[in-house]
Amino acid sequence: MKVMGKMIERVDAFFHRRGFTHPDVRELARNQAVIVLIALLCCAPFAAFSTWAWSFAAGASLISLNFWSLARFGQRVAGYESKKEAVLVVLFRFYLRLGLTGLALYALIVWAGASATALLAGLSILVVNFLFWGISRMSPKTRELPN
Amino acid sequence: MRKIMFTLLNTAALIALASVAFAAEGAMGAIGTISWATAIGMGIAAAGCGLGQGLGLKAACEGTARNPEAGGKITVTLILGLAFIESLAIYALVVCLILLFAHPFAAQIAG
Repeated sequence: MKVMGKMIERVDAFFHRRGFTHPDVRELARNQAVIVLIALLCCAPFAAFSTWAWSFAAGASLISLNFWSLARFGQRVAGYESKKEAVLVVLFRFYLRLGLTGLALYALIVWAGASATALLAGLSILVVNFLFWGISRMSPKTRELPN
Repeated sequence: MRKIMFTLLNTAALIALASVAFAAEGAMGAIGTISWATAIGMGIAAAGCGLGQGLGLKAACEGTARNPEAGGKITVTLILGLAFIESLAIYALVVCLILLFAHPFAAQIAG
């Protein structure tokens, strides 16, 4: 248990150095990293002969990169003084990310022949992470006590 | 009035596209229809998601300006919302790419 705690601390410190300063956002990013790592480790042995395995891993990696980019920037954007500037920057980054993701998905589906179902399952990992994070927040242990 | 105009314009657009789809014959017609569907679908998805992100961010900025102490909670909620919206856009993109390049209805069209 102690080793686990130290590992979590190290990962947290790594994410803090990378710009994830908000504790909750850091927790989400760390959970996402752990889930992707597990998915990659589980898929690696089958990747050579199973399209499903590498497609799933590719989808999970793609959505995680997307989320990390969004989360790192999202921590700063709510503090922008100009609403207009904040919206413009967020929209620009959103369409840029969407374009890059589109290119990556095009390469995966058209050139590499990835399995669409596996890709969608991999992309859904982020939603699963959020759901578990939300459920853990709602549990009586972690819920905030009223003042 | 705006709602009625919106409904009328949408209906007109659908009717116009349907006549084009029915006029085309065979596999080429189906491919053309699928291409139109993906283009329109992705356009709607991208525009809707952009609108959603903009509105969410606007509300978050207002909330933080009004109550800076709640900034932390608002930021987390904002990031969750933005990520959900972005996931939706990516799902739409995948569906459009599948329709365009993976040809899931090829057997039905050929048959």
